[in-house]
Amino acid sequence: MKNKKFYLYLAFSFVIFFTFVLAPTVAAGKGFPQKTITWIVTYPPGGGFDTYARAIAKHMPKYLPRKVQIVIKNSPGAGGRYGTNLLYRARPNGHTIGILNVPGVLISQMVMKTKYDMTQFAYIGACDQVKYCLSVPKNSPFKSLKDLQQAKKPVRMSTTGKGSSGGLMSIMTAEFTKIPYTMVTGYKGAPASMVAAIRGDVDAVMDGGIESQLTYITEGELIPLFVLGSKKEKYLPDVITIKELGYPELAPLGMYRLIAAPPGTPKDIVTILEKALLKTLDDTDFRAWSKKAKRSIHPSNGKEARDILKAQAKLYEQYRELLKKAVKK
Amino acid sequence: MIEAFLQALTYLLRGDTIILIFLGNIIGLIFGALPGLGGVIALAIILPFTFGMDPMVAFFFLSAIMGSVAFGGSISAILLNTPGTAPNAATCLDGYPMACKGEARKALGISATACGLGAIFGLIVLVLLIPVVRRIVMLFGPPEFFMLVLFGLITVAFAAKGNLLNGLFAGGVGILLSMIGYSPVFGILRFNLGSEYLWDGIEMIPFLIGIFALSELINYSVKGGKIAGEEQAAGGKTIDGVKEVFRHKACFLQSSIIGVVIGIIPGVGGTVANFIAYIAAMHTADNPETFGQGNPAGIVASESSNDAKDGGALLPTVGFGIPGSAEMAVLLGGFILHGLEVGPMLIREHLDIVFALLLGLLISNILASSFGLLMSKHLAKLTHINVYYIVPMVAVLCFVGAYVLRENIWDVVLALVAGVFGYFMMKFGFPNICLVIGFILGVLAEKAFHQSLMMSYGSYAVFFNRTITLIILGLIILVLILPFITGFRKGRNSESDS
Amino acid sequence: MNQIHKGKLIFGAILLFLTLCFIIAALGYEEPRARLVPVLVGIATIIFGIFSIIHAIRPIDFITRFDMSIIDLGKQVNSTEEPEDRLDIKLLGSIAWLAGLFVVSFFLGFHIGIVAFMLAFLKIRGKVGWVKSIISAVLVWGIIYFMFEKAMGFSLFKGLFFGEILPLL
Repeated sequence: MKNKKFYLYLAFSFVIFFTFVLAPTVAAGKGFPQKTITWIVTYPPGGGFDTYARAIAKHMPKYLPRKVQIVIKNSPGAGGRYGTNLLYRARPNGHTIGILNVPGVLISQMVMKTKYDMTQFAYIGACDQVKYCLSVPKNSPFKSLKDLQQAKKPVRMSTTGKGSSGGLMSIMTAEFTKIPYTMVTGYKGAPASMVAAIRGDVDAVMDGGIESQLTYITEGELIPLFVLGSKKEKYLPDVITIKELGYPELAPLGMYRLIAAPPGTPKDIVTILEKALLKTLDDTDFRAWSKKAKRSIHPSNGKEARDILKAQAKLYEQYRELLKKAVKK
Repeated sequence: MIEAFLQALTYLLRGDTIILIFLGNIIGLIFGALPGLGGVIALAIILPFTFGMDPMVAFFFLSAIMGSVAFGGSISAILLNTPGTAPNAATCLDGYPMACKGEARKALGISATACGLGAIFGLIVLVLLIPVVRRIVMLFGPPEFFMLVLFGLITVAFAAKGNLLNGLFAGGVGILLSMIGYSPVFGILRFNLGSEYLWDGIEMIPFLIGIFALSELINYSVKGGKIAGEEQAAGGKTIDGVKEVFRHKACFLQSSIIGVVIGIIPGVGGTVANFIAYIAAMHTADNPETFGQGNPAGIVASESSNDAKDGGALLPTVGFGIPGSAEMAVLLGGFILHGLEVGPMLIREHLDIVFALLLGLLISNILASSFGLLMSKHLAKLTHINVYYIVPMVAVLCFVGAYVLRENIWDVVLALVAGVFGYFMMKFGFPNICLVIGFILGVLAEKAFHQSLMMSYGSYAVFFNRTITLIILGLIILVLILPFITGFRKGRNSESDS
Repeated sequence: MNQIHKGKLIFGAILLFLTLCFIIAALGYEEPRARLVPVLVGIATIIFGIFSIIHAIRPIDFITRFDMSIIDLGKQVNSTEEPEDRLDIKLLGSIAWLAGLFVVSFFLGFHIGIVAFMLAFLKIRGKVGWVKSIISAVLVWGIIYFMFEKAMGFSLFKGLFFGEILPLL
């Protein structure tokens, strides 16, 4: 008698157990998407990439053939490589996508052996391009590029790390324009790096890009001396460009937010995602948000994203030796 | 200012706000109590749900979540020696021994009260300092930071109480462990044995889960019995716990101040505040040797600083756009996603949202404390469950908690290894607290040190020609001399006693 | 010399060796600043460690007096000293159980791992009846599953057997 009861309980428990765990996902018919899409962000919550991803993920589902949820998964670590690796090795069925930092993880691939290959990703598009400007604190004695170039002591530039986007821009700019410089690194996050400059601990900062520095520039805490670009910046119309200063090679520098799927994702699925992304970037509500939050949009489709990658790779390949030398300093 | 405050208050009359505050409170408690989770993950998960809401309501909700995490974490710290979040680690040190003595209810009472009052203190300070927020953010640079962290490291010697050599040894090992990984200051990888997993160093949460929870779990399962001894009474009285906080007014005040100050400084983090407050309390107490064995002041110190820091962390966040902590970074992201511009103008243009945050934090803290006080009896019952149920349950929770943070199974291995390591440290007389302090502060100190030198073109004068660094340096010297003075006094007192 | 005492010395020696490894590794780094703090801290730690071991074998008077002066005269700090002075064989068992939970979860996933672990532990270590064990196991799994996977959206480790990809080590 006791045995029967025991087996009954056992069977009952296992039935419940297996129904939930091993039950097949309810297939909503064929086609994509079938279930929640995971969007990998390679940085902790709250940063620029995270914000853009969340904003897009909010509006994108309605442009997909089936309105599934897009859930952000923050996978920070190893300077962005951890999440990039995760995306690279994820199943290429379109249910995992990610937002990538170019040239960030591109440079990583150039200087060390990475387990991912940027050229292999299935690019869906790009949503933004971050341009940089070099800013100095309020009462800085430096009023122009020439002042920096003629500095008696090395110009101290703050950055989160020499391999970060801001750090990269700083090194490239300083080396090219022959500004005597020294990097003060290790700040935890772009805001800390910017505050270091505002505080006067350092002389100049490029971290954060125009996008994040804008709020301090408007308040007068930071003064931009020049922007890295070939035409005037939308929000900094009075600031001179590096091209005008005579260094057009630095003009194409910037950080791009590329959106991609794992290598091997079927072309038709990539196209669905691509279309949805572009429609989202054009969505009225999304645009309204971007205007309010002063976050720019630079929509690109998959092919344009690939072109960006190629161009950036070519650009930095030229300066490989320069970078290697600078990083060693 | 007043209009903004009233504006925020009117939202409290709305049904959806009230419901969301309650919901946020519960979410915060759960995420806080579950080891390995915590405020950052809670906020990150909930953030998308707030998109459709009125920004004011959304921020009431988000701050309500933040407000109860600390107390939630203290529940597992006290009952299971498992810090629910990293800053609750110091609460384990005296909370769990109290639970073992059968005083779990009292411990929860202390924690609830200290949490609530600490949060209120932090928020008051926040409001008072808003007008001078810029000045404050400007005050703390790498040299100040270095001095502060150095101060924290010095406390290792005192945390060792009665076990100096082993303590210093453990602390040193902790510092070395913290330096594993990529250093942004030098741009090189250190001590990581070529492993990609260790690229960012030893991950703190799984490490702490291992050192505190798993090691105690091993210890406990070897000993057997119940957490609270067999014949212990049903956990003491909650009201006694409340009274204890008032009995340790000075300790509370001191710890809350430490919490707020460290909360204000971006980059230091709550875990640091916790330990410094704890050690400071131990140091200024009459009977330091009872710390770590169930001294109520230990919980007061740990939890009041833990909650006060939230108020402090809000200051640079809303006042200048610099996140005071990781949770604040998510909050800032939330601001942007709701279309609010962040930076120094946030306070000017959206003061009502700031008040929404303040009120949300305040109410949620009070709710959490009330919950703690009311439910302490039932929560304390956990300590009376048989070991054979507790051990597997906690083990599972710890493993899942360690895993879920980065969805990385190796973190579970880390927790397990740390657990075994922590057990042997305990068993052979090496204080884990020293190891942990060294681990948390070690690489921070080194980074700040080198940053300061980079700033000053290599001149060491940078540590001596700034006001705040000199003040902290003075404190360090004072703290080092103090034991000799009190020892002197004690020697004389005991002579006159006997 | 009891077992704990022996253990202290061996463990201390292991820690010393670990510290030495750090120092040697640090000396190999090119950047002098990157070497500075680890080497300094490492040397200080080794000194503390050596004295700690010496003190354990033959107490150094100065240290004992200093320790006593920090804590109240007469009272002993007992929290780190166990009443039993030997390492229980139960210790290995406890560690083995935890390792077992990990191994099962690693290969078969957390779902199976949690249930199997709870069941096995309750039945074998706890000698609890089948009914209670199964109900407890399913209950714990259920709470974990619903809270972490359904409510919070995490996905628990599926296990190598079920095709989970391992993160890089």
